[in-house]
Amino acid sequence: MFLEYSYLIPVFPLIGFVVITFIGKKLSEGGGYLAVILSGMSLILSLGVIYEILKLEKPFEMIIYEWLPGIEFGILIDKVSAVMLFVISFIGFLIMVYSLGYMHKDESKPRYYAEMSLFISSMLVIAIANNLLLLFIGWELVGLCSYLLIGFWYRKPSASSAAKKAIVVTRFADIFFALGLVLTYNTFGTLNILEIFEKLNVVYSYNPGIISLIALLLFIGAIGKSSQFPLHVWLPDAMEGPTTVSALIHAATMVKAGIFLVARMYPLYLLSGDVMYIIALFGAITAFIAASMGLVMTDIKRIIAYSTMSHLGLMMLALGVGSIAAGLYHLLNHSFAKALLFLSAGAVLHATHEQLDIRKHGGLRKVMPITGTVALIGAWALSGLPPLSGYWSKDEIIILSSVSPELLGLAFGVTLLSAAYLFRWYYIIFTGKPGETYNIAHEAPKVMTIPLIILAIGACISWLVIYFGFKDSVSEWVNEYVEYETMVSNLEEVVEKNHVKISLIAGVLAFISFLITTLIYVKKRIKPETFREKLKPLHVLFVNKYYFDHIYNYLAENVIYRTISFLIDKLEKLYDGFIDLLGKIVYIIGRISRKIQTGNVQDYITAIILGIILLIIITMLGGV
Amino acid sequence: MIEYILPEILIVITAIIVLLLGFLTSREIYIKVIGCIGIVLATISLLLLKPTDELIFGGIYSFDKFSKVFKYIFLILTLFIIITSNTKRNLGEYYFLILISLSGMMFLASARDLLFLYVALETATLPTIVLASFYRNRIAAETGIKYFTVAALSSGLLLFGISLIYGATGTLNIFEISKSSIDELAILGGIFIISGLAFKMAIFPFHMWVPDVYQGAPTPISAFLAAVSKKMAFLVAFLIFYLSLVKYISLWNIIFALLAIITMTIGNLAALDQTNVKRLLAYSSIGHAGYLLIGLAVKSPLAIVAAILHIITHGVAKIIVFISCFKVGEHLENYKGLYKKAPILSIAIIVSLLSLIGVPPLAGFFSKLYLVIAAVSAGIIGIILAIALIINSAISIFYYAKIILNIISETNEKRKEDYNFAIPLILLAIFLIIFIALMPWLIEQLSDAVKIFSL
Repeated sequence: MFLEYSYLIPVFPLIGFVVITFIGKKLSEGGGYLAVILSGMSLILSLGVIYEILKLEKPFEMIIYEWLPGIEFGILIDKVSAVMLFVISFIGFLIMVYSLGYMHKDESKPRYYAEMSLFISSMLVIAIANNLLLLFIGWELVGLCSYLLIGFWYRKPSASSAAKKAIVVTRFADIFFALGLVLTYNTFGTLNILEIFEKLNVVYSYNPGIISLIALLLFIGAIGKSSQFPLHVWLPDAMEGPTTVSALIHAATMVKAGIFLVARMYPLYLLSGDVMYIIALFGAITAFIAASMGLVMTDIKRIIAYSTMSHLGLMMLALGVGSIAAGLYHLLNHSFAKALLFLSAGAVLHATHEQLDIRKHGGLRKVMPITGTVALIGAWALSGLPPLSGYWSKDEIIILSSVSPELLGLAFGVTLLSAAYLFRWYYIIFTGKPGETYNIAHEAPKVMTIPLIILAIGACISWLVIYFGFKDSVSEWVNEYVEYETMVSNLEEVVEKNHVKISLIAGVLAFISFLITTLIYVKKRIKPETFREKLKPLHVLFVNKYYFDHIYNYLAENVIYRTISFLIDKLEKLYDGFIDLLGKIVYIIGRISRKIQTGNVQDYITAIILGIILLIIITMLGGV
Repeated sequence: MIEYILPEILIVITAIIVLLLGFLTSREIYIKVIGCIGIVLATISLLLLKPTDELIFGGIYSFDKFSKVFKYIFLILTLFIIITSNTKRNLGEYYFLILISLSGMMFLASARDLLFLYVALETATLPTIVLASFYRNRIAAETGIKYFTVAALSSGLLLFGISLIYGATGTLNIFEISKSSIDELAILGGIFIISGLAFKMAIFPFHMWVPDVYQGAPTPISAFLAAVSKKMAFLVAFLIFYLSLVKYISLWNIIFALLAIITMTIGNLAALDQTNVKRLLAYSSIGHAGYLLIGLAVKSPLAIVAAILHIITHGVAKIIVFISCFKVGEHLENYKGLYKKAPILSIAIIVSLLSLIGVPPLAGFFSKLYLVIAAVSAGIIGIILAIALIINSAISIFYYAKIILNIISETNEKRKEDYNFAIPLILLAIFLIIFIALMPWLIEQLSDAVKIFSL
């Protein structure tokens, strides 16, 4: 009974957007309560829909509006979208509630709530779209909203430039996504996702290359959105927005869209082995470099942003080696822990007048007991230490990466680093000597702590879904279109063989790194400076973010900009001359044609007679 | 059988009621409401009637999907003309003439006999001559005389063409002409028919009356001529050249292609430095007539569908702009700063102008797109046509943008004006925007309708 109304899920927040845009100023709390209620309604509906879809064998598809053949707008809900639907609507709702406290003092609340509602609505569209065009529309709307929200405090120059960076980088990737759409429509004659899957084997039999190409193009789109190497540069800067926005973009929604796109089109990817390897490799590289950069940052939110990037890399790695289940499992677990970390960072910022530098904080656990505890849970869950939820999915991804040595090496590196950067973050802010902000800090209001506690509970228990058949239900459907089980049987063998060994090594690595971090920051046995001195080149490399920004800036300024301005200079002259000439011709013809237009009806009649003669001459020349 | 002319009967009855009512009341609103009710009733009855492929009334009348489509177009566009009209005197006469002209056009859509077709065409044209000189001043008299003279000549040419075809084939039925043996005499007849129709279509070199008449006529009548009345000639041309004289289709295609290119270029170039908006729109109408000719210059069902789509989108956009200059004023200066005075009306005008240019995702873009698609699939002539259309669209930006720039320019005048009349225009502008959603359905219906041509 819920499924028939599932199209309303994105409609509720959309209503919120429209209403708050127009009359938000007159509503209490700038439309905040309305936004919370509407996202709550879409949460309830989503939960009902998820409950029903879990019982169904087949995906649920409903066509609402047929636009062109092959492009029918409608809804497709299966278990993959159910995961995404749950994450978006649940975490989106909690963030909306939290915003009531966090944004209370901001003056432009209506704009905030309107944009957040539109953001949630368009993410929900991505989750339940039945064709790639609708998905793309949601995708672009999400990009627009992230631009607006990152630049929310647009008077800050850094915020508006970060917003610009985010939109330019993601748009660059979107071009490839759009190309992929065109190619898909050209190849399959449809953009309907299920129809594409049905035609997959036929197309594969005569043109396997085109499938790889489509898969690659769509993956480049996903790289941009999910902030993967080498298009990851926008994500850390995106921290300029309000913290709630960071949480929504990083934890629940936008960056997950890329993962979701790959999972959504998974049968397509399974048929293109090379692209799968690229996904795995890029994922692993992202995971590693992000973790290493996270280790040296001092910005409270950027550290978590790098952590997000690293975990997204792990998800891509899981998808790339062939396990959709592990990827989505980690997506689910990560969402809780990461939203938790961001919102506790938000609570700290809220209490300390937006002090972003972690070195200015210290000992905050005493004044913010709840925030401190949940932050510890969040850090624990993501660091790869048992038994919280992050451990289980991460462990599984590391085991899966043992299919090839380079992936395994990178994965071990990530394990070693992630416990270190997460606990470094936690220890510096919440333990040790009181920092500068100690005296002004206070516990957050209830409207903020309650969502935190709910998320903390989620971060502790979300791994249990594995006992409710989570893995089978998200991966079984793939078998219907390609021979998934035979494809990954080799993978299972590897896993079977190395399971205990690798799991043990990973656990030990994480524990060692946890111990070292504790020794450095709690027991003060080792000074962080000694590390910094000894590994100076590496430290410089990490702090400068592997010089990606420098390289891109150099390329943009010196190569692209110069070439274009040179070309424009030359072309402009040519073009100006051409346009002038054209203008003259047009002007002369115009004058002649107005000369003919005498206003005398006799002349008009003459013209008609001449016209008839002209027609007859044409006919005779035509040889009839 | 009589039910098939029910919509026409309703329109004629409404026309008579309106005429009589004109003697009794001087409140224009009553007459307008009666006229609108009549049109709505006719539309509903049209909606309820099932189309049939058989010819009725002794083979001269047909009620197929093709004629239905055109009847809808005529009815709905005329409805908006009546709603936005405002004449203040000789009320009954004014609306009576519009409705009679409408009934003529509706008969025309169903006519499948050349003589019936001719009579219907004259029924539709003659009232517009009276309407064009409705204000009875010097300009109106000049306009009327010019229009009448050219119309009379064209009518004669058309009749001459028809009689030549009758002489050549011995029949007047559109379907039977194509079956009988056709010789050179019929080609000559075809040429005279083209000349006669070209007057209505506003094609070079038969277009010269258009700027004078559109400028001199009352503005709603200019809108009626440009958006509705002009379009019936295309309907007739489709019938005659794709059904009766289809044997020489390659010749007609070449002639129409040539005329199309010259007409669109002349229209757009002449529009460039007009300062009178009505005159500018008249030239723009000539340009668009050139685009519409692609439907006759390219022999494919898609071309006809595209032309009908363009008839719809151009008609709607033209009504918006013409009616706006009825209320705002016909000089470009009148548009200065309109955005401050009447923002919503301004948006409607800008939307319609952008649609005329062919900016996606507005309606005009899609109809032009289909014209181009249809053209490029028809060989070298088609490609030349498509290029001509695209270049001309680019040229047209200059004069349409002139109006837009005037609308959004700053002005010191602060007075707000009452623009209640803008509501129907806004509805039409909304249609231009949501056209993207209706398009697939429209194309499906139109493709179904043009099946009678069996190309």
